[in-house]
Amino acid sequence: MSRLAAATAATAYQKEWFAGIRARVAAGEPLALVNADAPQELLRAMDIPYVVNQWWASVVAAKQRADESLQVLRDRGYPDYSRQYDAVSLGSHFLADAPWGGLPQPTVVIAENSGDAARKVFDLWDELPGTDFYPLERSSAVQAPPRWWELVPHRWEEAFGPERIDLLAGEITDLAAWLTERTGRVLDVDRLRTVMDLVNEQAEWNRRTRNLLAGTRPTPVRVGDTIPAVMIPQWHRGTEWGRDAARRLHDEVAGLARTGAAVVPGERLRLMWLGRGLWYDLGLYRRFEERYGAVFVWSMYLAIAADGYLRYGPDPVRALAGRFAGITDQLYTPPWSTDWYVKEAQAHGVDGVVHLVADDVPGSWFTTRALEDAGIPVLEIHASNADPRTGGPTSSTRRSASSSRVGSANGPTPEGGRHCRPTCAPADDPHRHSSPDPHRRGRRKDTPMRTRNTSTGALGAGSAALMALTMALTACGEGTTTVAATRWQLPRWTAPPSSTNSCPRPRRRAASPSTEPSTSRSCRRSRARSPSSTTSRRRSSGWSRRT
Amino acid sequence: MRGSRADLLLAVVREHDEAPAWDFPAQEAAAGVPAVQLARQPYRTDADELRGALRLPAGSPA
Repeated sequence: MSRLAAATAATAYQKEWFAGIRARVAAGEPLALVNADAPQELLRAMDIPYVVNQWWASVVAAKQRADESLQVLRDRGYPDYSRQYDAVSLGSHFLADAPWGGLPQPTVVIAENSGDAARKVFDLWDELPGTDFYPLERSSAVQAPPRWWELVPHRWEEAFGPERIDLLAGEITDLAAWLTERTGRVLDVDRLRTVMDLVNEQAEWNRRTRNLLAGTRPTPVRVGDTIPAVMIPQWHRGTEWGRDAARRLHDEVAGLARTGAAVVPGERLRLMWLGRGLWYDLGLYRRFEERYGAVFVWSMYLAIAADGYLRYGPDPVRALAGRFAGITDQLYTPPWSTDWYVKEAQAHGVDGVVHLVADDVPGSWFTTRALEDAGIPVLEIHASNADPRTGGPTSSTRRSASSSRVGSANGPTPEGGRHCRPTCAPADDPHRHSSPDPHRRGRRKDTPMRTRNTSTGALGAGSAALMALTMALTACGEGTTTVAATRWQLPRWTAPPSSTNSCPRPRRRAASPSTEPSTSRSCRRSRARSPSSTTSRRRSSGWSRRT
Repeated sequence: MRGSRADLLLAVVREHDEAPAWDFPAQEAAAGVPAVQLARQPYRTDADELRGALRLPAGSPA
């Protein structure tokens, strides 16, 4: 299957756009570096060029330059094990030959104060002469409305509460004045209204695409394609190009679905990739296809683009506050996040979830537990998505050390790998046959759905079945172990010689009634800080002198 | 530091509490005395490791 035209076009556009950004900054225009959870629409409406921190970090990581970028921090005495996804861009700023010509020094940096350490990364940007940081407060949810994804497009004030909206709307107004002081550019509220309309149009297209994919069997597109095809336009929210790119993606996906295109002919397992993209090892997704006939049918990027951004309302500043006041809750605060992940897993009829658990992502324990309680098997991989030392492609294909758990909690193995667990069950291993049907959705009383605490006795009689469940996907004949340990027993698999649209597996229990996407394919299966910004500044570490 | 006439700055940063580690370079620069950081420490610090960091003989009061 060739790459999606929408993905190719988005990547090409982004390279051209970034070259244009560099040219504009070289000509004297300001540049903003913003975290993904900051209200970028304000910058769009003020015509201030901006780069999203996480996007740039993903480029650096994908170009295998993240470790060097973190070395910059190490050399200056800063922790290289903390908030890597936030910090890679800072380190990369000082690389001699950074990817794509390098990120120009930003005029302003904008981020939400999430966690104890994120703020400190951006304080370091602030210490560079010519760069100022505007921190946004992180407010917290005190209620969790059921089925928030149905509530937030129009009733966001009710979903998040007026106090949180008031706080962020005030900060956005204050931020606009702060930006005017530094760039001379002024907010045009009518322009912001137009930007908000375009964002909503784009999100509606993303919602259609997500719904289409949820109901299509077999899966016609790779997440490795949908991630750039969704996220590059996402970073251009509020432009005609962004909206049109989302529509083109939808139309292309619809066309593939109509023709019965399949990422994996004879699709065996439908998987959910839960967590950030593993930017330094994007080949992981394809390895699952080639080795196991397993296809990732879901990533959070399209899903949150479908459910997380729609905000309608007459006051664009307030609606923008409604978009970002709780965006972190939607992804990481249970039960907001957990309800949504379960809903998405059921809607897409996944057989299991591969969950990337990073130190700087909150709520992961609750996410895994909620999915397992819903009868959905989960494999946790513990790694940073931006730091290849925690699980790069080299370590992910090394022979396994006899680590007893997936993840990095015990530190790296002597070989440098972190992810592998004992695998390669022999063909006559009784556990091979004691593994429950991975397609069974109901939870069996004798088969605790737990991958964690595998060495404890708390699982009692279920431990044998548990060990079977925790056997890894492995290419035993080659003696190598993949990063992707799962609970399922799968022999190495060879794709059928020709594409088929057959649905070899029986129908599974119907998906949850909450499933909103329609099933359209013939092979469908129902398997299923205060507004005035009183934050203090810190200018004491000598970061700028050191650089 | 000046008031106590300390000869050394020891920063102990606990595991899963990474924020203080970002402050260490600034603290080191401001201290004016040698500084050492024990990062990602368990919540119960091993006395021998602490002595080692301070270059004190094993068994001496830490």
